[in-house]
Amino acid sequence: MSSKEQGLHLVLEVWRQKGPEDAGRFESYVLDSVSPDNSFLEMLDQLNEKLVKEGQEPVAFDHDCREGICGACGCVVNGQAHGHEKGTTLCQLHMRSFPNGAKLVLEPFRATAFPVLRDLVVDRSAFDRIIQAGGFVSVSTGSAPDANLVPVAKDNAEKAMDAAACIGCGACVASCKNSSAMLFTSAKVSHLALLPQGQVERERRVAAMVAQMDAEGFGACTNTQECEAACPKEISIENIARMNREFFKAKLKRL
Amino acid sequence: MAESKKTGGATTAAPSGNAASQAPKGTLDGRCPKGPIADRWTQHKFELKLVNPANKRKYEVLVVGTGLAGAAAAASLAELGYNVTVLTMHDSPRRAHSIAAQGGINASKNYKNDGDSTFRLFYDTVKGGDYRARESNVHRLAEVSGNIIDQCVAQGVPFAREYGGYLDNRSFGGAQVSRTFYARGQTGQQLLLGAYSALSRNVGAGTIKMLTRRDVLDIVVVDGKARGVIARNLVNGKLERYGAHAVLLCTGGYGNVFFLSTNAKACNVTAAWRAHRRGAFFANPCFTQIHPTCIPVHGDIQSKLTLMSESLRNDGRVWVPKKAGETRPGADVPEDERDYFLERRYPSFGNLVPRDVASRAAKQVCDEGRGVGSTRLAVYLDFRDAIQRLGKNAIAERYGNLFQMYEKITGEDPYRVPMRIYPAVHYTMGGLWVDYNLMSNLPGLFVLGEANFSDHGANRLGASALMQGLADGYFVIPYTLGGFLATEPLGSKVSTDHAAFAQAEAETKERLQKMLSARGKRTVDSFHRELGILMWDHCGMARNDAGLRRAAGRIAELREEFWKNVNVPGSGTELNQSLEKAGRVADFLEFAQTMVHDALYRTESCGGHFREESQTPEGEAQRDDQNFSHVAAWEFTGIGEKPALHREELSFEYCKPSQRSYK
Amino acid sequence: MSEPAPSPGSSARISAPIATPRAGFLHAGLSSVTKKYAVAMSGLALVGFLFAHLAGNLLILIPGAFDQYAAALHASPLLPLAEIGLFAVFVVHVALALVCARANRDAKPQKYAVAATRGKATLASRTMVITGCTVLVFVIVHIAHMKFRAPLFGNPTVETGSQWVLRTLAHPLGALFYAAGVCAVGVHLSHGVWSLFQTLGWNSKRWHARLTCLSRAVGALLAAGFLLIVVYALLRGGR
Repeated sequence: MSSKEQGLHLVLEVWRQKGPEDAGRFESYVLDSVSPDNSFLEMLDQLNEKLVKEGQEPVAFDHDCREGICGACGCVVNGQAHGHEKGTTLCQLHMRSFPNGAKLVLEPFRATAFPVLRDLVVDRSAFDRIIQAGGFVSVSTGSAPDANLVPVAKDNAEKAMDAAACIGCGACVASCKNSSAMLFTSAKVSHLALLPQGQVERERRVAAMVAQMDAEGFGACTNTQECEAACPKEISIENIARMNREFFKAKLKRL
Repeated sequence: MAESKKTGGATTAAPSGNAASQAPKGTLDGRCPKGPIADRWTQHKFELKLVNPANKRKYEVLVVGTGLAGAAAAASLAELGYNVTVLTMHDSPRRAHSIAAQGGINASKNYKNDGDSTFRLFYDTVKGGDYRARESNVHRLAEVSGNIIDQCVAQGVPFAREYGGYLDNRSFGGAQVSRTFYARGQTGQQLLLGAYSALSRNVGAGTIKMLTRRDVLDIVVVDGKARGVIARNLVNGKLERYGAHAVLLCTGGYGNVFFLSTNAKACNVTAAWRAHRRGAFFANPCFTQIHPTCIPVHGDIQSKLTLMSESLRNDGRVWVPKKAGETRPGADVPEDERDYFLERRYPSFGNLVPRDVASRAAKQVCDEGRGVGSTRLAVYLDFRDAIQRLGKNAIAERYGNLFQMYEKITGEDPYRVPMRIYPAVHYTMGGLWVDYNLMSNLPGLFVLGEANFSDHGANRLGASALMQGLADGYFVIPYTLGGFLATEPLGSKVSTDHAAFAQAEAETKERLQKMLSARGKRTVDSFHRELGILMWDHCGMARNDAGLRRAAGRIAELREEFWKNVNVPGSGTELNQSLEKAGRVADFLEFAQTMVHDALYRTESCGGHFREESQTPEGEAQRDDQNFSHVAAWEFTGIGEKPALHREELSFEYCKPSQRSYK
Repeated sequence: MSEPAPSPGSSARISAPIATPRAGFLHAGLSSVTKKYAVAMSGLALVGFLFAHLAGNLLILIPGAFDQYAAALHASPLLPLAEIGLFAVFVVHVALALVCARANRDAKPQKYAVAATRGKATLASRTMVITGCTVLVFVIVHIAHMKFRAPLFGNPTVETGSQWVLRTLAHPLGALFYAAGVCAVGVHLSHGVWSLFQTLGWNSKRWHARLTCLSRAVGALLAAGFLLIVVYALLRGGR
């Protein structure tokens, strides 16, 4: 027999928590006949179908596009945000990368700034508020000049795109021992700092976003680089260095 | 109108019985401006009344959805000074499914000097839509397309650039000019993040009230006008009432009626369908787009299909083995035993024929038993020749992220073995009927983006969805909404204590309770899956009278069973994802019947709607302009009842209908 | 155009517990990035000091040189100033690092049931607080011992500074203590030097690998340099 034909046998330890006030606990489930071609979330679907049929409540988890771009999904699998595969969101992680009989421990992203709402669902609205503090160019609809008026060096455009690829999933925070949001924040700061369009508000932006990041209760960066390793879009910590630079340039100008 | 009275299975197939010859109950006027097409929008903008700037903040506007259309509209309206509240079912506005669009966005900038113009984009879009769109709307879309690019660049959207620093364009989806702007394979993401940043800026400034994790479950209509919504707070389950002077539905398409589609899991028809049940007409629901380059289905548990940008067809060659039942791996099939069927059938467009044509051709060869892969429901998309010609690096540069995605999902390396692709539901051209101002037949209810029916006719061209969503949000609604509000007295907003709010809330509550208390044997997903297969088999890539009638009957039965036998665990006063899904599936089960009815009614083939009864001798879609050069907008008459038909005649002054030919 | 003014009647922000700067006087109203910057800057100064310190100490290998150097140093009127400055830098480094560490702990209220890394974090990077505290204890004892001549490792009666150093380092406990201390410094710096460049914003993809090497080299070099003195003292048997 091979697991390819019979499917995988899995032992799951899943964090169950009724609501934000509930203390939460792990529960064990056994799942059979999991196709190696299924995605991790499809495996969770399968678990939930089984739970509902057995009269239990399904495991709540956030997800939407299931093609690795919306940033909604994510939990910690065996201690790693989005599981062990490099540059992969949970929805793009496929069961063929697990051995038959694997034991999987599923936990929500842990951070003071990401309170658990239920099971594996956390509230990541802190990210939205960081963007609201300054992650934009203040251009009202209708006031833009012709798109080709301002050339952008290809190299800078590419670097900006690298930073802008962030999907806001929160894996950086989840994988950081300090629950720091520096990678997320710096990706947006970098994206706009690298483009001519972002120059006017450059200093105000970085100061406001860092202040909001602190106010949300994220920790500080101690440069362990785990965020970069966990990031499904492989956003570089080079952005954090750039944000630090931007921040102090901004502070110096204000002196 | 509670379901209990109208879910009878007996009323099932009857309503669709004579759809094909249904007489219209009324005619609709799109209220398009007259005069030369190039002047219409300009003239119309001037004619629209303006709201006194001092009064703008006193006008309250609800925006439902934060995709390209919703986020762009909310930001633009807040900048004008309106009092805007935005609701989204997601945990963040940035999750909306616009984010998943890969390929690009069209604009008639003519930066490439290759003969593009507003008129050409307009012409291509009307033709590509198989002459089932309004000329005035489409021309406006083409006119503002350039402004969209300007706006997005100013926001910091990192579009691809050439070495000189100027914007790059590519040819996309069979267009003969290069007018597609793109940001790697993540154009939708970058455009949405641009709109999201504009939205966020206003939220931060306090000019937009942003409500996340709110599912809009009903539209409140008072004296024929939309006055608010009922939303469920998805965290604590509470039903909330929101009143306003106008409601904007930017809630996307209904592709998930097929269960398996390239849509995100949460995409649903609920808000649009609830508006329809409150009186808004649903137009051309049978117009769905099947995208040819998706990763094939692999098993029973599969939850969604993944699209790969059709830019792949620029270099990949589509083929199947010449003989049916071929068992050798694709790479081992010798050249003379391969049938490059698109190149063979359409020598001038080859692999770049429009989406609907490519999809149907793939279906045909699979129906002949020549499909590949374990399910035999796939065709090859082969890069062997392109890699030989251009080198692996050049291909990696163009499609690296797509190849990586393909390998991640299938476990196969497309640099070595040909990709397998199969068509999947991707976009829905139909939607709530709107006039030129994007207002539905219910005054005060505006519908933007994929949720409306307006601009793509029976088939959407590649890279046009992003264009339409942003056009509606940034450059159309800020004018047309003002035109409406200027005629609405400030005092016309209805208190949320009004009986209509109380009634809508009570009905929503009853409906949720009914789903929770059924405690049956089947999971929500099992119903959705069954509905999806039914729709795919009978109302998918090819449709015929008998199949559609069978589907209509089966849908009614399934709907009846749903209410008796669904199992929704948990309660309504907590975060309950089963309940969220159940509500959406319940609405799909009602909507599907209208969709099938529309497909039965439209006995012609056009664009994405292919009726087997109406094809040319070569097997191509055969339009029937004599009888169907109109929009079919359906009025709700009750669940399982035959919807009433309202026709909007289409006239083509500038683009003369012709048979599309890609030979 | 400036950003839109909030409309007076609206309820403004509704989704937020928005931004109050982190409470507590220890934070002194400083942002996390500012604090980290101060830690990095002071760290940089301390690394500079360590090199100077090592250079001076290595003179012990040349008979007589060390005592001459010490005498010259103590004769300088600037010494007390330098000592106060060094002390201040040290205090800033330690205090702000601890304040950050505390906030970082609060940011992660619950650890994962399964502890795992993706291999990017190193032992050194994950244990900066531990090695830092170890160094702190080491420095306190070191100052008490070397500067104030607390007789911690044996009770040598000696005349010169070099004799004091060599005899206590030849003492088994003294050797062990100093060896452990400088190793902690080395481990701390093997991450700390790279980290300070990153925090100061002097890092990029291109420099990343070089700076990582530099960081490890600095840690190793300083630890080895100081260890050399211990080994020398042991070989010389304290004479």
